[in-house]
Amino acid sequence: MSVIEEKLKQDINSPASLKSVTAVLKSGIPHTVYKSSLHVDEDGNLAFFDILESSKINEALVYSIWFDRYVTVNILTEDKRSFEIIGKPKESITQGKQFEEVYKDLKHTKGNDLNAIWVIEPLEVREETFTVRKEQQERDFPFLKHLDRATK
Amino acid sequence: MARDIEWRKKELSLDEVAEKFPDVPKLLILKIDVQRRGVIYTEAAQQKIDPEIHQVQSDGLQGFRIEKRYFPEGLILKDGSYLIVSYDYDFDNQKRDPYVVDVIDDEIWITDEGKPITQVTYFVKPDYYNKKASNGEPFTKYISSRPQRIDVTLNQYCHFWDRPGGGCKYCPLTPNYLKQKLKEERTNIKYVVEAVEEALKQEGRFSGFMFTGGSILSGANILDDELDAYIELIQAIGNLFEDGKKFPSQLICSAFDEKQLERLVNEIGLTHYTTDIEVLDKEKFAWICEGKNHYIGYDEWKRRLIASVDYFGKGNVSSGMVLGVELATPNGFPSEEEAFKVITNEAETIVEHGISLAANVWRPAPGSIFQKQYNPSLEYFVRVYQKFDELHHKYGVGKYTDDYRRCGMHPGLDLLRV
Repeated sequence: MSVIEEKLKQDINSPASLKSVTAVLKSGIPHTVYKSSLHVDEDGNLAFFDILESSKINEALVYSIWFDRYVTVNILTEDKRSFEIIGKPKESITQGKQFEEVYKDLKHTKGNDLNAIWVIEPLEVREETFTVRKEQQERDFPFLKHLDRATK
Repeated sequence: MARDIEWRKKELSLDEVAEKFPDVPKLLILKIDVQRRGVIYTEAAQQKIDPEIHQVQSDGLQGFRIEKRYFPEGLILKDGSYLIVSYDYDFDNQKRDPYVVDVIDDEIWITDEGKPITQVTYFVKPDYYNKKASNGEPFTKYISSRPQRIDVTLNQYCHFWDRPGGGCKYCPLTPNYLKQKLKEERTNIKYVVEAVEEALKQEGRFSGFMFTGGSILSGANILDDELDAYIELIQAIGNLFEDGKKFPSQLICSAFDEKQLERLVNEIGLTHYTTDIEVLDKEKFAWICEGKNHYIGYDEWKRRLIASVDYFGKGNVSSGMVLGVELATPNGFPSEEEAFKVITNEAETIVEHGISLAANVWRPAPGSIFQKQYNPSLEYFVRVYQKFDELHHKYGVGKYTDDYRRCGMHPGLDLLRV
């Protein structure tokens, strides 16, 4: 069962949400890209379409899948809620019927090519919406504040 | 030679090599080892092969496979790379056990000693496989394919075998071709074009061509007839693309001289040139590739390879080699250590020109002169591939030809992905 609940799944699949993928390159430098194609697939995994074969995110995801590294996916919804999803690359689909279906759609609707369909297994979801995180901190760590905020 | 039942005690295992080389992905080390040791399929794994869906190798003309039953031409791994396994496991002559493709929980896995290593899928055949040319022959007679590449073979016979002892000693292609008493025949360009036209109807399937064939030594100057034949073939395919434009294509051929290279670069839309030096040592080359040495010679082959960069550009030239064959007996290097030193030093004198080394894993193939030999340890292959990768990154070679998705035969080049 996926760690992504139905409401978040709808937000991720919404074209109005902003979605990014971050993975670390061999050099150790993190690389982040925005991927409007990112969605939750029928198995509950995250998937997106990588268009350019020479992309840095492809390099970083190959490095991650080779060395079992975590990657993160960040979602900013239309109503400004934000989520960080920690996962691991599960598969890079570079051929086959599914690949060709996506390729044809991208070619005929946007004129784009297709490098790979990247599939990421979500392992943990953290809500990072500011009001939610603020409430958490005030509840769990009530003394984490400047003294002038605590005076009478 | 009989199977060595103690072989696992005499060399590092997959896990031990992965531990020793933490910067090389274990998945890549596995790919190297599958090619080194070979692979067989359980009955359950064979039941998963559907010839209506999967790309299977049943054609004895391919030269690497005498076995007539259906087996996949390749496996697809989770990192989107391909592993070519279109060859037979030689039960009579292998000293090591093969990997076993099996079915676990309805999924296909590469296993070893009953332990699952990684999940795989089989190559899916392209749409043209079920169709025929206008002469009634199947298109598969004229072109073959990898998941993303169309392969066109000009001719099956290599004329280095004309002289006794002249054929490359690791090569099973011409010996198996001759065993089948086949007559030398060049492919029919008319039907190749028909096949390619049909293949290109499948959107998203192919991203390049590979042209190759046996060496043809005849002509006013040596190799002129080979050059003419490739120009005619590639021109015919090029007519399917925009006039005067290059199209993604690789030619693997004999080592042409400057005059021939000039024609090759100017008369057709070829983008990548490959001529295989095979063995990175002059003395070993002379023994193993006797015909190439007799007609052209190691120094001249290497000089022509390097000269080709002036015509095709840095990053657009590569050279194939049969990694491990330099340790064949009795005239190969006496130790893996010595072989490593010599061939990696020699490699730099080639890679520094922007030429990539597309090194196959030497697997003593049924039908070849070296059929009964042993190939080196896994550790040796990984160590050499890692050094080659260091050189490839240092000198900036091209990384989108002969790679993990267009070819799948040169695991060392996968390292250029990161």
